[in-house]
Amino acid sequence: MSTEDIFPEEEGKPLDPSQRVRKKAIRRRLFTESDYEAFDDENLLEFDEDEEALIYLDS
Amino acid sequence: MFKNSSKAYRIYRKLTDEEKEILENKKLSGKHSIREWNHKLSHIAVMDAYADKARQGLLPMMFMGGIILIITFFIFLGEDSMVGFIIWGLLAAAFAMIIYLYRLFNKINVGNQLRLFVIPTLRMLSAKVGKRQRLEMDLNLAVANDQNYFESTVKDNNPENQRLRSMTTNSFRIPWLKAKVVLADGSLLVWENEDLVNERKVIKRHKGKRKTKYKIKHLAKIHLLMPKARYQLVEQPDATIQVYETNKHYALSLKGKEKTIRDPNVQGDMFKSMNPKYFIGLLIKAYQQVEPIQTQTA
Repeated sequence: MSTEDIFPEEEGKPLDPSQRVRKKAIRRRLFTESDYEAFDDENLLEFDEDEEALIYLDS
Repeated sequence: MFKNSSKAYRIYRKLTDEEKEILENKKLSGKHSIREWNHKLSHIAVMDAYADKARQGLLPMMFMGGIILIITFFIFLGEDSMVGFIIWGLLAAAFAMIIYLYRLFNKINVGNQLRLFVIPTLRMLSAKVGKRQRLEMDLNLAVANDQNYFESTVKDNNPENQRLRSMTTNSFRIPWLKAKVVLADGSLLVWENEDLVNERKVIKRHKGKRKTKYKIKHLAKIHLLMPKARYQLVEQPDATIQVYETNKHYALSLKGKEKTIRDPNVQGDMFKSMNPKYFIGLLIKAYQQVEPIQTQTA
């Protein structure tokens, strides 16, 4: 079997394995439940008196 | 005692002319990268957080300071020594500074939506938007009971609750954000936020005591234009999400509503905003209406 038969859309050039992974990774929903879990409440810019909110200015 | 005041004042003094203009107008519009927006708004947001906390401490200090000033005036009046007048002068200077700071922090106060929603949402979107893409925003930094957004008032002089003499409800409607951005997957995200605020003022029969409470509905409307080349609709769609179709896109529309309460009598209880986590939840819900098209190469 020739390379053209396996990867017709790539005009016979085999894909680099890392490129294939990248293409696969792009093909997912942009927002998933993991975004919800990953969101940190500390992002809300609410802080106790003793905390230093100025750190937000540097990030 | 003046820790928060000092931090807020220090940041205020360092603000650029552009940032001070934003504080003055309480509105801004533009199209910038997420990084640029963050840079424009972060100092104001942090200053506002400190100023809000400072104002809470300054208010009782103003009342106490006023009383102390009057009492000490009469005490020192009877003395011949200059020491008393010097002490009184120092107290008066401290009192004047408290009033100055309180008035300044009131004047530059902005709505908490900036630090509770806008900044965290910018941070969240920075991972979802290409670096070259620009976010278009019309942002309103009005506070929840800004008189410019007053809608109506209802006064009840014979409320059902027998303990109350009267009840007045003032309504405010504050549209505070319109935004538009192309996301990393090529979808166009357009959304709007507004707050519907009910300010309830009651006078109790017992001693004519007055109390104020706020009930707020935080509303969000989201529109997503998703490329058909990348996504297809799922077989069982969510009935609460409207879906339209164009040649190249699916257009999804959904609404969200969150309710919060503010009781000014409770120490530290401030106006809230829509939780950005709730907003992320709405976006996830919209994205659950589509599934990525798998390609042979993947």
